[in-house]
Amino acid sequence: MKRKRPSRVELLQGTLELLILRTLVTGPSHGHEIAKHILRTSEEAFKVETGSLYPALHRLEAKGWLTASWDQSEKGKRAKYYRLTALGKKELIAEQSKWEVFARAMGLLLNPLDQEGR
Amino acid sequence: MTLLFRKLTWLLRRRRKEAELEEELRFYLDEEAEERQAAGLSPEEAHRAARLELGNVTLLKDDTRAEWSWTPLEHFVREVRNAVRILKRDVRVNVVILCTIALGIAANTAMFSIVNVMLLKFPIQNPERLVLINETHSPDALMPVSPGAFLELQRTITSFESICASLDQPLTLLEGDNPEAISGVLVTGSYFATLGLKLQLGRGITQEDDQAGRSDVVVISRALWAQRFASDPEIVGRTIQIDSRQRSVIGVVDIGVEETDVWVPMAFDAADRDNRVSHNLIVEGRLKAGVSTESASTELKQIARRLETDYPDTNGGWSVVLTPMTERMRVLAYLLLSVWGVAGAVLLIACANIANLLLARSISRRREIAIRMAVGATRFHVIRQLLVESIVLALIGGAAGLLLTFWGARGLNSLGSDVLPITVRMEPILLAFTALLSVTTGVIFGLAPALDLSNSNLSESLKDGSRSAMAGHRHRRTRTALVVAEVSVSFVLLIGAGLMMRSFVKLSSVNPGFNATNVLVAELTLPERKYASADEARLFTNSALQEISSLPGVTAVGASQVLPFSSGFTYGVVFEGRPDVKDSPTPPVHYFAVSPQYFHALEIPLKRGRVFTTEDRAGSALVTIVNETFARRFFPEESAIGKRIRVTSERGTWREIVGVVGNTKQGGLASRSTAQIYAPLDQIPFSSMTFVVKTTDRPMSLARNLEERIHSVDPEQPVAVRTLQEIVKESVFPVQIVMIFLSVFAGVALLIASTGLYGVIAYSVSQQTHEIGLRTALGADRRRLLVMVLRRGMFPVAIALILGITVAFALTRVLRAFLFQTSATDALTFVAISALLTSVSLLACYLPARRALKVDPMVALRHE
Repeated sequence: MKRKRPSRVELLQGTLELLILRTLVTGPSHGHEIAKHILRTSEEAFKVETGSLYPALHRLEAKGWLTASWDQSEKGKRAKYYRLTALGKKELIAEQSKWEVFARAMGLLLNPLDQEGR
Repeated sequence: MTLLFRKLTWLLRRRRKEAELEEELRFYLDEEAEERQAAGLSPEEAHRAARLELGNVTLLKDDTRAEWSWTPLEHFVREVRNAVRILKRDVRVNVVILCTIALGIAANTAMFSIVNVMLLKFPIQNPERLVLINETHSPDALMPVSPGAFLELQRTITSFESICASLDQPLTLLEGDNPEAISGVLVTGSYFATLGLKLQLGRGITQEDDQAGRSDVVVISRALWAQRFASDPEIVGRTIQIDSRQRSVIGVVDIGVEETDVWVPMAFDAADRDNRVSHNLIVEGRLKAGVSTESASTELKQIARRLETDYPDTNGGWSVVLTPMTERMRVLAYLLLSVWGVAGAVLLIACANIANLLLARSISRRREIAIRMAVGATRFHVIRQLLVESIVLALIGGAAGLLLTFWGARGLNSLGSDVLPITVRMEPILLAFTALLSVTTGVIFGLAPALDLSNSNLSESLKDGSRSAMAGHRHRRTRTALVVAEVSVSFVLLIGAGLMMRSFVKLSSVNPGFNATNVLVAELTLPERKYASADEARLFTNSALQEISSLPGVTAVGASQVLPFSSGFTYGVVFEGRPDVKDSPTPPVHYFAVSPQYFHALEIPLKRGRVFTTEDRAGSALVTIVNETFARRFFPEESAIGKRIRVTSERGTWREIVGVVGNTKQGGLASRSTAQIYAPLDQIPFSSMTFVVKTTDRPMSLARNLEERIHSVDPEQPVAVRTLQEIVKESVFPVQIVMIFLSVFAGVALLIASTGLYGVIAYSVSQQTHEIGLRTALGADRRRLLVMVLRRGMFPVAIALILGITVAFALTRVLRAFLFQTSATDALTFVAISALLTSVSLLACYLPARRALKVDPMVALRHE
């Protein structure tokens, strides 16, 4: 019997890159791990499609925000590990603060009563 | 920068990147499968689920690759390569399409280059503010301006930025040994600035040049520069000899303005400044911005009144008026743009036809497209691919069209086109226009089929059996509608062409009032310095007439100061003994000075009285001959012979009418007969002159001898020899050129539309093969079957005819300005064109219908 899936939301345009960068702060990781991490951490709200994940990883690599190297995975298989670069870190900080401003603004607009009540 | 660099290195390590991506995805798959297996699925189920999770791998790879490759460019190259491959697959249809595009593009490229030369590159800036200024002493007779009046106008006028004067002056260019007659214009220093003439090189003539002693400069036309000086870029500063004067070249005018070769400064002398009698200057003025023609007219009238009071002897009764110059331009623009509209219609027909062909072909490509979409191509990809195919086709067709334009222009130029200079030059702007037009064309004809194909139902298309029947049915309506549109537009164009042809035939059969066959025309102008007195000019003329008439093969020779079919000069006329009509109330009358044999040489019939004789000399009684129109209008109830009249410019000299001759069409074949009067050339000698020489046979064979005879009188006199027939032909050229363009375009339209019709009928017949086979097998009469197929085919034609007739009735009015004695709704043309279109359509239907009937019923029944 299948458990009912938690309601999923569409990833906002441009947020995938931010999530990937954020995921890699804790250390290098491969594609599958990144996808699972985002799914788990968002309480299954964000399901990253492979069709967007891999193009995004390669795009970030092309921009020089990530570097990639082949390494042994935990289970001893060869896997492509992505690592945050200095440039990537800088971008992450910039993107994150932008996102926080955005999220706060959305919160203020969507829940004005919460704010007034406080 | 790093992005570019990284992409570059990746580009070099392409294969490896490809393998890495493959491995990366396989790793994902394995991880996912392992995870699912751990969750309790069987290995097969886990693997299947992982695959599902990964989704469309081809698309995923494509998108990822896009990140590290030069995708847009690569896609484009691949798309083009693909398109060429696909186009090669279906050569026959593509050749038809290419020809159609080439014809449509060629028509528009030709019109573009003509409009480009005639309108966009018109050498005069802001022509709408230019006006022509004339002196007049009767409302109908506009006269050139005298130097004295011009200088007064220039000194005092305020509503104009500037005004300028010019005077045509035939000159002789001596370059090397041979003297060449060229047409020159004497201009005042304000001329170039007033007209805003654009220069190719150097500068125009200025006020500084326009002074006695400093005026040895010349500006030459681009045509002369190209022909005589091989477009020498160092021409400015060179000295050339014109009329035995050394002049230094200061500029080259951008393109030929009318027929002028050189411009030289006017440099009025003291005598000119006080001359208010010789009305010989063409005066043009540029209005100040914001000044209306009405207020400028008022100012001109005030100045004229002041001149009247200051100089009552010479300026009494004279006024000054203006005419805007844009009138002529507007007619030309109207003509060109309407012909271009026709070319545009041809291209639209071509697009409709190609869309039609592509729709037919799309049936066979449905499966290919469906497969592409099944493996992950999006609708956008499919549309892009199909559009690239169309654009590649259109560009190839456009290139062919460009070549066609060049050949076509050469063909038209060989017809003689002094009126419309159809020079197609390989210019960047022309290439850009053609390329842009081709791409647009490709999108127009490719869009509908592409949208249609990309919209097809996947599973439906993949199932083989349902292939044609469904889709075919859906298309039939669209395709029939396209054919109806094509045929009806062609019909309208054909009607236009038909009307022009009828006009042309009528115009060509108009009797000009003289016989142009076997007549040579020699034009010359006596240099004023050499022939200062009237006696010298008279001596030259009479000796030349004598010399020419003694040539073997010459039956008659006359001289006139005006060429037939050139507009000539008009004057007012006063009648003796009619006090009620005091100062020239007559409408302008054409006035010619001719030698006695003139009427004989041109076979202008004498109706009453006599023609001139050698006794009508300078000093003998002044006489005149009038034409029938003059006699009928001014002497309706009595004989004109013996009456005396006076031309207003010849003060105090009455001329007795001694003869009445037939009318000639002085203003061209389409012109109405004007009132004309003639005077003996001996009594009013002119410096420009035309000899008309009637020969027994092949006039041009005598051209050489004719020149020799004239040179035996004066070896330095330049002379230009043509046939009168040529001049007559040139006069119908504007009508002829519109007719040729319309006919060619309409012919092309008919051709395209009938192939379109043929295509649709052939296709629907092939769809009906089964039905026809069945009916034949059941014993249906073949003739009745044929009628059935034809009826289906002719149905859209009938609709198109009704539509076309309606539209043509409304639209042919546009042509009215070019029609000659032909109604815009001429019944014969409408009937003939309908018949033509019906028979061409019948043929287009009959050919495929006959093929269908020949099919063996057994084969037809097996046909799915």
